[in-house]
Amino acid sequence: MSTTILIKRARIVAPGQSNNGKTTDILIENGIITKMADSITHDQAIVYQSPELMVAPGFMDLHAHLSDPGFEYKETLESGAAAAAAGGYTAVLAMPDNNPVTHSKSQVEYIIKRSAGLPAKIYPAGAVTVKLEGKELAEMYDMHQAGAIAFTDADHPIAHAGVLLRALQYSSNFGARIHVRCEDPQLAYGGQMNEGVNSTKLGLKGIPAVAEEVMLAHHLAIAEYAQTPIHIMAVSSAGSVELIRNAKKKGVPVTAAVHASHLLYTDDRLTEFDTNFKLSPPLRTQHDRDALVAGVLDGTIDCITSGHRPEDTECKVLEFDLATPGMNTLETNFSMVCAVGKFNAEQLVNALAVQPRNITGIKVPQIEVGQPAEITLFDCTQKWIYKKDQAKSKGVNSPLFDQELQGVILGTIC
Amino acid sequence: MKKKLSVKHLLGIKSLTTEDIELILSTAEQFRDVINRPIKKVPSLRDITIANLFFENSTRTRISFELAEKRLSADTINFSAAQSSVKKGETLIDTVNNILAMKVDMVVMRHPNPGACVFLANHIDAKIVNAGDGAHEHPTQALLDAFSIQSRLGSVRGKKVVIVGDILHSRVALSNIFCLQKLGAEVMVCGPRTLMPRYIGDLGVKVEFDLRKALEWCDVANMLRIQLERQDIKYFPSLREYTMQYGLDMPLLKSIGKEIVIMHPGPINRGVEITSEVADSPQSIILDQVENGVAVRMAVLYLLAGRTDN
Repeated sequence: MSTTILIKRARIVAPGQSNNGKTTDILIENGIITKMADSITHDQAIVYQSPELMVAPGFMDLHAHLSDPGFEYKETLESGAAAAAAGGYTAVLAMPDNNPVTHSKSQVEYIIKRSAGLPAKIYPAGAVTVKLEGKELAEMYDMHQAGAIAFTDADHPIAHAGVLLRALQYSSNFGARIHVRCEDPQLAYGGQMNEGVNSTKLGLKGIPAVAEEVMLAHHLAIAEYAQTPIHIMAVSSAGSVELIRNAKKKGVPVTAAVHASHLLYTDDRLTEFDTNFKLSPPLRTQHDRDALVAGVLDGTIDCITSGHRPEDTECKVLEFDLATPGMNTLETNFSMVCAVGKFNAEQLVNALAVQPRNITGIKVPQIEVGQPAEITLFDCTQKWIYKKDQAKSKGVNSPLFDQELQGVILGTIC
Repeated sequence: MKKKLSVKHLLGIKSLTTEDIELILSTAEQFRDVINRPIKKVPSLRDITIANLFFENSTRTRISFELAEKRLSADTINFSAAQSSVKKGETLIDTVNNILAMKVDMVVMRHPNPGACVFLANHIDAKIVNAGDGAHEHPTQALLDAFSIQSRLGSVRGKKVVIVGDILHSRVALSNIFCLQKLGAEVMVCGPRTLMPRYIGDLGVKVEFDLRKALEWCDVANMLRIQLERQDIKYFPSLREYTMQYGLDMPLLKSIGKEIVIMHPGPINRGVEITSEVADSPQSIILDQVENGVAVRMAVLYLLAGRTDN
């Protein structure tokens, strides 16, 4: 980067760092923070300023389905990275549920090679099991050597206890964490939305919260036995928050994430069969939503993810039962977190930038003179409109198109 | 009394007001007189074309709608999934739009997916009547059931109605609950726990697992058909055991010490949810329901079509 960037009057939000809380001007030259002072002037610099400008270590998303290779009509690495940057992310963990599945070195290398030079760093997550089938371990060591920083079967649960135990033990050798989605396939069988009064009114088959909790309890027991860190993706129920809270108290090495959508919405959104709100895990009740927010506030849930799953019209504009679950969220996730209205700037940056890196063992970018600049600039007080015709993501499935949202990403530098 | 419905489509009972339901029932009253005359046909829907789209098997609902349409002098076309391009991968919107391109005014649709009619109403330009969408709603069945109760007992208000059977997979149960509640009846559901939605009590209905207790409580028992075709996994070991616990026979009916009205949306599995003796008894209004079905569907089609004139 040969440009010069001047950030005016920004409050540094960098929990745990020496400059946290300071309000200052920041000069970035050739990608390096070269000066931090009260009033910097520079003639040629690109200037960022906003009434309540904040600067934070670049956000990192641990749960995005970038769909490339195989589903390029839904998203490509290019469009996904552009959406990520627009949404304030400088780093994204790309889910392996592509076609072919990211379950060997060559697929990992494809993602790394194809994402070089894109506006956000794309880190590949390798599959835990071959073809995400939950049966046979994939070559995780080889993938790790090639650049996969974490392993997950994406939204496919690993129901086989033996497979999960061996995956945890095996990957702990080289320090890569296993990320798991918890949902018992038998209890969730045929389910279209949260089981509750709304599913009853709509005649849609419900996915009970116990489907998630029963597998979570099972996974936590295995992680405790293996004494190996496990990361729980996309927590959705109050019962799950409680299980994780108790496990952490007991010293089980567990971390957890929640999608912003689940902090913001409930299954009340489904009363008109809007497939944009058909998600996996499903949106649950106000009680669950409150518990998830409380879980983020007390650190039970470590990070907030996007769960970005871009879809095309053919997968979303059809009968509810047939629609693919998921929401296009990379560009709006920050505004969705702001809309929850419960987090201060430090909590927000902790959940969006710091903890995702702690979980994946990536160094948190430091906002200090002499350090490479990997930062996100935002203003929680400003408003913007997510215009459908200007969206970076190819996904048609956002309920927020052409709506005014609070919480603006002014830019990312990385 | 107002003469127009508050809705453009009949997607479910949920979206109707009590006044809408009362208007449909009073209009049905008039049409029942019509279909009992020597000349059963009226010209009300002349020049209106109605497509009956059945993406799921149906005999009696389809015939009932078709008869209602013909008695109103509408032109009708029938379409069923078995003979359609649906199996070739055409989307629902494309299928329906192709039919609408032939200048069709109204669509009566049955579909296996809950919400399919709501989805269609959001994407196409025609009036839609839901003839059953998955386990969601079957509004005309609920309306004809209410109409039949009203005809037999004088009123629905204050009556105690129990719905017995597979509540989990039943659009009839759901529409009946909404309709009966809006008309002021008390509703109970009864069936095995595996076929009872966990949160059904939140809809304001009583839940009972013992058939005898349910029958002792009620004025009307609506015995649902056990729909094995909707059950992709086993919810009870055998029909025999279901009948042992939830089958209604004459000794049981006699033993409750009062006369209750017996209903069934059909088709009956005789000897499963209800014995022939009960189905054919004077307490049963099952065949009245069938007759009332035509009158109620005439009322619905007439009232929905009426909005185009204004």
